[in-house]
Amino acid sequence: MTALAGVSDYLPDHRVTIAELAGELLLSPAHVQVLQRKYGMREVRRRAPGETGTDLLVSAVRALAELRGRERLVRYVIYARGVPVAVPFPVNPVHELCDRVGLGHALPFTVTHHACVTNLLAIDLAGRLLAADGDPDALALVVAGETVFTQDAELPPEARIFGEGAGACLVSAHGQRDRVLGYACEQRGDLDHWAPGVTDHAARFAKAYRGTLCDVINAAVTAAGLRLSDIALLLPHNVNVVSWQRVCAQLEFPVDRVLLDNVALAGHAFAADLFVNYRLAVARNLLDTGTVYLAAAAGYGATFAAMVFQH
Amino acid sequence: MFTTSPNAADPTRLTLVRAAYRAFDEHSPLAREPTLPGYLADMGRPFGVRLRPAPFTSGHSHGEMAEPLLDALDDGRPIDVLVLAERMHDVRPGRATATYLGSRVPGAPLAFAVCDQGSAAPFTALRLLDAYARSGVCARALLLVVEQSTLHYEPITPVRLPDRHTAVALLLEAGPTTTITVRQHVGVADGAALDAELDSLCAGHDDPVVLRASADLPLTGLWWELAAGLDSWAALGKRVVLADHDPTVGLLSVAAIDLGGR
Repeated sequence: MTALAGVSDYLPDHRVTIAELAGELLLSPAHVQVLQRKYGMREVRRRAPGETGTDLLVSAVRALAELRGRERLVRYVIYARGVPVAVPFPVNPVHELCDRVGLGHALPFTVTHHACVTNLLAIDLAGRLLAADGDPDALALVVAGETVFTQDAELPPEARIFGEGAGACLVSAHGQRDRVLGYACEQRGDLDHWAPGVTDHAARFAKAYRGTLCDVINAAVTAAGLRLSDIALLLPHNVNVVSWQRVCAQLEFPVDRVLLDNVALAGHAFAADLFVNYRLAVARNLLDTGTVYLAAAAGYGATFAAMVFQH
Repeated sequence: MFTTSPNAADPTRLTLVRAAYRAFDEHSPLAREPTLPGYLADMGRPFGVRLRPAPFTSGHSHGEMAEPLLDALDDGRPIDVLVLAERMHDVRPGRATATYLGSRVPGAPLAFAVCDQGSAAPFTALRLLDAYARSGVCARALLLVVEQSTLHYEPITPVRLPDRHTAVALLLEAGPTTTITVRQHVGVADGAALDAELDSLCAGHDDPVVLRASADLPLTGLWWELAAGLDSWAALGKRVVLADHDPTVGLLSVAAIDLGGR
């Protein structure tokens, strides 16, 4: 059974408020107020001058205590990237990462096209790869985290205020810690927001968002052989508070079980949100032995996914 | 919707059954999209990359290139997993192309892209598809190997660009036996080790077909040759061995595919 053998995160110290980003994002003062008061946004993290995207990943991996002394067991290093193309060819962050953290013996590659929920895809396929290889001690390292290098004006403001940060996790095929109990993924290529000649993608994505996210959450819980009431904690993507309030209302799931604090404190750090929120849950003693929790996210493209774990 | 649980599913193995391939002499109108120069400029700036002079008129999109191949292989039966293997990006860099392509085939497959591996990406994609099959969630799969040939900036390190826009699609189905073997080695500076791998994969097979990567189509060339020869080699029950070494990423990849054994 696929399991996480360790999880880490890294958030740069540099904090930028939503108000400070208003000029860059072409937001009016009124819009900033709406984002703060209604959507729960306050600040995001950004890299220090000179800090690169690969530096973010390296910092997250160096924070992964469970990796120390087990480097030789890592067979794969998988970069779960939300943005399909983020560096000029042939720049290769995942290869540079391996060299810098002593994992040059592992096979590095990137998986993408699942937006900011590529993290769950990477965890799932890492477990399958390791199981197929048959070495019970082998591990895969999944990393996530991206830079804000361009602004997509097509995205609504509540979805395009991204933070910078990174996360990492060790995956094993047969572990006992943070076991994966169920995974559901719904892809809606018809909502492709880069489709040629399509102008109503944002409206159609918004219309489909809540129902489809609820569907994958319910499907993941069912796949795990559980009921939604068994979920003690939901680790969200940190897009905004309102969308989670609406999802919870539709699911009839208590919103106070959704760890939303990082919406205000860190912002949406692409596919690293899961790892950042996991570490916050650990810091707050929200994960006891046996706790069943769920991670869920969605993103443009569009992909919606949820995964149930047991701590 | 793709769903999985820890409950054991019946494992299977994949075998290559059909293929389609195509070159594109024309460029995509999407290369002229006004958003492309800004995106590429923003992406390249931290790396000191400068765009070539406008206007941008050349290049293609991997989505448009793969679509006719999906149509050619569509028999109405569902696909479980679709993997798009890429080496160089296209002129639609923000697009989740694999997700879009997944919506164009029956079965609403799990669809994703594998990249940042140079020309090793299709080999890794085969390993991933095998892992899905062996865990019992993939009985039919599509591997798409697609590369357009235009970069609108000078790469910061020397790298070979393909001569043409080309795309290959391979359809794999569950079979009774193992028919595909993939091996990859990391940190390989030169291709000297290829011969030993080829000897190992050819041993015991009568007159196997050996395909080596071509310089003119660094990503798609091998798979193009495989697709082009598939029917004739399958009729003869041949083993086809594919060999690639990409020095830009230090990856050596080989695959042995047994054809016609179903």
